[in-house]
Formats: sequence, structure tokens, C-alpha cells
Amino acid sequence: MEGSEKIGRKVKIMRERAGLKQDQIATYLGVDQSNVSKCEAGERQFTVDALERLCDLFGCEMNELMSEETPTESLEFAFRSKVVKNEDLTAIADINRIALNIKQMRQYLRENKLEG
Amino acid sequence: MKDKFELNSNAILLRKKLGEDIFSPIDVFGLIRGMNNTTLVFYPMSEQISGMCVRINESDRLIAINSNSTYGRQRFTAAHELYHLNFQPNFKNVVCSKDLEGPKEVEEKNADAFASYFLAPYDALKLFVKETLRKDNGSISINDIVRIEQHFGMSRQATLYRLLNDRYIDPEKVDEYKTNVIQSARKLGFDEKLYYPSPENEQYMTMGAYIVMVEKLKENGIISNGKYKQLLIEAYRADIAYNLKAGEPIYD
Repeated sequence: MEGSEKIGRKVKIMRERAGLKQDQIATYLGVDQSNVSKCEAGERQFTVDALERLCDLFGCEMNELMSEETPTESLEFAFRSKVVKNEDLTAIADINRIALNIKQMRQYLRENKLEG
Repeated sequence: MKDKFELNSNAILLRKKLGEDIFSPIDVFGLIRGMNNTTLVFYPMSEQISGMCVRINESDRLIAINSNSTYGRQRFTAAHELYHLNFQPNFKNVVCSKDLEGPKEVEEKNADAFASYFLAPYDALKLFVKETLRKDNGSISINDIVRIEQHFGMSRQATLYRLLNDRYIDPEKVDEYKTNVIQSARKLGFDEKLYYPSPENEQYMTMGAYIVMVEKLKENGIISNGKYKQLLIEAYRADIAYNLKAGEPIYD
């Protein structure tokens, strides 16, 4: 399976797990729904900027999006996510960015033996 | 759903773990800011969402609060997220609904009930109603509701949800208690902070472990000045990055 197909499939899995529709992802990324559909099918590639924004939304790192493994835990909505507004997807992505920064900072602290 | 005795017991256990007794009102944000490896984020979201929480790795946690909610509701949301982080296994990232009355997943219902007991433990509310208000179930008035929500720091929706579930009020009267919320508190001489969202300049804010980590990395020369500022700005703390709010020190 080619890289773009692999990433597209992974994005689709994570999107469906979160209960989000293609058009919600399209609005969030500022692209057409057909674009998301083609990228998920591996017919087109997501741009690097789009992949970074998807990582923020799903709260994962780029290497997780590119790996073969499917994450066991991902973004969950405790209500019907089909009605989630675009502004909330941006909010979730911004908050997940802070969480990803924490992950990175924890790694720096561990590598430099500065914990505790 | 877990029974309410178990959820009340969980709430009391967490209170004790955090050094709180079971009768006093609590500063839930102060407690979270003091928790190891826990970051608190305020962010304005839509009316559908109350907040979210993230289990980042084996040690780090993040709680996000919708700063468009009233202060009373923000306190309830913070307690709700503490349930997910302390009592719900196997989740990474959960976004929570603001609606307390609609159909919900079991763990969301558990988290709502836990939040209510964390802010106002079963016996604390019972004692307050009996000894301070000198009332019995069924005779609670609008003035009593205001005094309960002001004492325990809960929003009107969260207060009615609890009073209804613990049979302190008649379901038929609930709708009339949902109106004139601020006016009812004002007439009793209470502060109105509980009923308003965060002020505009505090809608985006990060506190707790995140700031400590950034400062530690900077102090030890692990990150550059540019990375330090980037991390703070991404967490809405340009005030620290550029020393914006320092002003004259007040020591009193």
C-alpha cells in the first residue's frame, strides 16, 4: 500500500472513531468534501499543513498518523459528534496542541533527567 | 450507571486525597492547579460543549473548560473532568456535552453525579439544608436555592439537577426556578460572579503544570528563547512570554 493510501485510510479510521463526517473535516480544513474523500481513498495526498491540523484535531503525532498501527484510543465525543460545530473542532485542535506540547516537554525533561 | 452512594464515596475519597474535608465548599480550580502534572486550560467553546480532558501519557493530564460557560458551570465541569481522570479507565481524549438533562452515555452520567457530590457531598448538602436553611425536603424556596448554589459554588442548572435527583424539590417547580437567575441572587445581596462567563481577557488561559514545565526547560537551557516564547504563546500566555502584566509589585 502506498504512503498516501496508508495515511488516507488512517485518517478515515480516526475520523469515523470520533464520529465525524467528511464534510465536518472538510470545513475544518477549509477544503471541499470531495478533496477529503479523495485523500482518504489515497487518490490524492493531504497537504503537510492539513496533516498537521488533523494531528492536532485527533491529538496524535505525525508518526502515529503514518504508522501501520491503529491507535486503540483516540478522540471521543460524549455526545452526537455529527452536530459538533466547526468552531469546536478548532477549539479541540488548539487544546490538543497544548497536550502535544506537554508530551514533547515531558520527553525533553526525561532526556535531560530534569524530572521531579 | 454507578449508584449515587458509590459516586458520593468517590467524591469524598478524592476530596480527602486532596486534603479537603467533606463539608466545606472547595476551590476546585485551586485544587487542580496544585495537582502534580495537571494542566488547566480555559478556552471559549460553543454552547454544546462544557469541556474536555486528555490523558496525555502515564503521568500528564489536561483539563479544558469552556470559558463561555458561567463561572458556576465551569466549576461543575472541572469536577466532572476530575471524574474522567481519576475514576474512568481506558480513554485518551474525551469531549463533554453541556447538557445535563438529555440522554447521555453512562460514564457521562457518572461524571455529572460525581461532580455534584464533589462540589457538595451528600451529607454536606443535607446538613446545610437542615441546619443553615432549617428546611426539610419539599419546602425549599427560590431563596434557599440561591443560598445553596452560592454556598457550594454551583450554577443554577447544576444546583437544580442535584436538588431534583436528591428529591429536595418538586419536578413540577423546576421550570420556574430556571428564570431570573441573576436577579434572584442580587435580591439576596450575593455576588453575581457565579452567573457570568469568564471576562474577555481571561477567556483564553493556561495554568498549572504546563507553565512549570516551560519555565524548567528554559531555566536549564534545554529550549531556546524562541521555543520558550512559542510554547507560551501557543498556550495563550503571551503575558509571561513578554512580561506584559507585571506592573508594580504589591506586597501587603
